[in-house]
Amino acid sequence: MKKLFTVFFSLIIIQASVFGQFDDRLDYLTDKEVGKFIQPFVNYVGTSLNSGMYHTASVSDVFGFSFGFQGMLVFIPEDQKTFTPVLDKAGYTADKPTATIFGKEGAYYSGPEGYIVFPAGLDLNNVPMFVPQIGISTFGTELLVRFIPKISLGENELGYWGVGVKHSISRYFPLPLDVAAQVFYSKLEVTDIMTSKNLSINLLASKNFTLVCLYGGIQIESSSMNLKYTFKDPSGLYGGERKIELDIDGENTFRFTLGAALELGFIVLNADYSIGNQSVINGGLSFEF
Amino acid sequence: MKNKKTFFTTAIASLILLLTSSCDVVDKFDTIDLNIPMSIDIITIGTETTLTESDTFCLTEFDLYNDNKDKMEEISFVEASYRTTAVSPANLSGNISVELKTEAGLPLFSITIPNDTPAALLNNPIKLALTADQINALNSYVSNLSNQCFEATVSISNMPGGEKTVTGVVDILFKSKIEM
Repeated sequence: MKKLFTVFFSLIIIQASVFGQFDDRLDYLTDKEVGKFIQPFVNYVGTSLNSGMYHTASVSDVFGFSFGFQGMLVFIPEDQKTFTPVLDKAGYTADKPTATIFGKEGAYYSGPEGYIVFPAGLDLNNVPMFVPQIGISTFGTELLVRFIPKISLGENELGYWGVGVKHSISRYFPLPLDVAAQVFYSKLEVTDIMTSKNLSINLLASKNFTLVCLYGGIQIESSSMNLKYTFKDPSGLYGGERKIELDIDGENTFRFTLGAALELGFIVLNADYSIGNQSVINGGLSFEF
Repeated sequence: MKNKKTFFTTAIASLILLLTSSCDVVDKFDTIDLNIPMSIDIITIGTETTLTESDTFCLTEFDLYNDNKDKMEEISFVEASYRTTAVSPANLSGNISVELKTEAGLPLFSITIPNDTPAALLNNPIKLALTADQINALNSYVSNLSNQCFEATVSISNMPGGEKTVTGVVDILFKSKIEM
């Protein structure tokens, strides 16, 4: 158990270090181009943080308590690895795409004022995310809380919290399977760099067998990210260094999820797959009482 | 009990898989590939039918290079081009050659722009088509990160007599790997 916690917390620290560095690439993009470069990252943060909130639609009527960790692996679609910029300088044509944050090669464009250059991406096909969570349930309602205390990232700090409510619908109607609705809100912040706010509302159903619970759900969701960075004008064509702040909405708006949970006494292992703007595999380990 | 052990083993194996994936992500954040553009202005003025002008420049004169030079793991050549930004008289004809040498005067490349005149390149850059050997020579020179200075020469020949001015720019693009 101690080893598991050590591994999970190590994963969270690693994840935190990533969030502390992702903005380095933004410094080389104008406010007009940064949105297209970072859009898949906004989608990724929203998709992952809106994942893993349930592995059953059954909610205790008496008292239930659970704690555990959820790990997500978000798959980056090929069409989110490149974008074609709109070069707003006369005499330049964007004749080839350049990398988004998850793409590979940063492009360059020749024109009457020299080269306009774009940064390379991270060249990643999938990106993980980890969150700890606690659930307390009674009267067919579960309160779900996620929390990562402030982690220092040098000059910045990462903090994350999320809160949600799940309520059993099937407690009111005689149904052959459990049905519930859930709403969840979370906020991830790296001070002076980014703030990501995510909201999801889902309708889920599950069916319990002896040791296994099959579950699935549909979810509408939204994400937005506020970004702050210092543009360094690598081409020297945009008036030099300046601070930029902007808001970007995620493209993750709907998903369909199917999964299964293995219930072994107070230990529950779950895994599910969601199809949406970015597909995600979610796996979790919970201790439930 | 046996089942418990199996599930814990599975859970730990899955975590290691995720940890490996995470480490891969962290590795990708360790470095960034940056395109570093440089523009060298060379003005040729005179009355001769062939005019030659040189300029010595160092990579440290460019902010993007300077800001990252201490964290630079490697640098290599990507592309070079030449353009004119001013030509007088406007209908001036002549053949243009661009040469780049090391600080010590060793030639790295010399390119003659075919069938062109300074006015045709007015704000219209032409890519300098370097041979593989020329690219290797340039990369070999800059691979030693202490080699930071160059001499760029622009020659314009077969021009008519009389007072002439050609303001040209040699654009050179390098790619570097920067440790974050």
